[in-house]
Amino acid sequence: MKDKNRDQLESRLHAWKVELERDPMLKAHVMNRIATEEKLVSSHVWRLRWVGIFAAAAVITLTAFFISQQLERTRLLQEGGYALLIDPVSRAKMVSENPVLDSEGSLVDRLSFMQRRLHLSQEQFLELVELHQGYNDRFNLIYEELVSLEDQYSSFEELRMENEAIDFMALYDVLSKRQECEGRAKRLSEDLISHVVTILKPDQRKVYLSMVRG
Amino acid sequence: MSELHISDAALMGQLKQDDTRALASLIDRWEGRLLHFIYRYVQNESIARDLVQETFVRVYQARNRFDVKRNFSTWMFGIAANLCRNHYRWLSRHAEAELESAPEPVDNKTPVEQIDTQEKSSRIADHVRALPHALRVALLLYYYEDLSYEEIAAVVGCSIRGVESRLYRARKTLAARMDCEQEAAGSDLSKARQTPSKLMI
Repeated sequence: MKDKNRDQLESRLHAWKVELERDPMLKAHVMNRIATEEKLVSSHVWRLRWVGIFAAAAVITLTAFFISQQLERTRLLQEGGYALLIDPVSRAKMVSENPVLDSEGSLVDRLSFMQRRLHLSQEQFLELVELHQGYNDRFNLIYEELVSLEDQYSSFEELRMENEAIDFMALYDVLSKRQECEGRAKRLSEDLISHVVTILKPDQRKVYLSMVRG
Repeated sequence: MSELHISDAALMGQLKQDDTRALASLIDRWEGRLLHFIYRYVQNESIARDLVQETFVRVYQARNRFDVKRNFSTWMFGIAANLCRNHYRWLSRHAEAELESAPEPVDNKTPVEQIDTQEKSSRIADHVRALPHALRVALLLYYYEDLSYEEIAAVVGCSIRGVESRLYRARKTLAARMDCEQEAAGSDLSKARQTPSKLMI
């Protein structure tokens, strides 16, 4: 750009005068705006805090619920595991529904939950294991007998479904044996329970009885 | 120490401590220049006043991000320039919003001189308003706010060479528009001269 043109341009630019008066209320307006926006921000912050508190409470509640569900599930599994041990009738029903449950483990492992749940001393626990060990073979025998009777009953059922011609006397015999077997199982369980409670202290006994009798 | 002797950076330091008296001092110190800069940019008095207010509110809100080693004026003009650009973006999306006519100052010239000056000012204002944001900010800060190349570079966020280039392009664009304007005025004049002779015929 030539100097003359530039001078001309600059003189035109400098001729553009602007004379505006200062706003006497500007400071007041600015301070008001700041106060209003800070109030707004702080109310948002409080709102966010409340949302955060509610969200945290919801998370804690859900977590607690989930944990309690898991603990309850564990408890039921452990108690179910104990039922497999001391109640051949329940064992037969549970295993027929879910064969995986009949997994063999050492008696110490299968009873270890009771040591935690009933706060047993080491001596009490060993005594308990020994007691259960004494009953174990008898429970197993009754269980096998019950499974055999259940198989026989299932055979009758299948036969009845196919041609409806079954030997009702034989069926009656099977059902009578099963009933008698279940009675023996119940008596044996009660016998074991009555011996277990002698090992336990009153507070432990209370927990144990609520556990085995629901 | 009187307020006049306290630097802008020191006032910003006080503002960071939530001392709003420091903001009042900064407003006293900078309102005039800021108002003129923004007014020349948007060429609307009420919008310029709103944007000045908004600039000081932003200065307060961003006080903790201000680096006291920086020049306060370039930081503040940067905020103002961004607000002006945002305003124009908003205007481009809301075409129904109209700009009010720009008031011109009255001085001691004769009425004919005043009209001539007003016309010239009005035309240069229109040409400046038509410049793109980057060129307009550089031009206004250089010619009206007396900022150095370095300071303008800090406001617009470019190098000193970038500022030189923007000012050169701004001047070139304005000169081209003024040439067109003169040519148009020249052709109007020749038409005006021809009209009476035609009438005489």
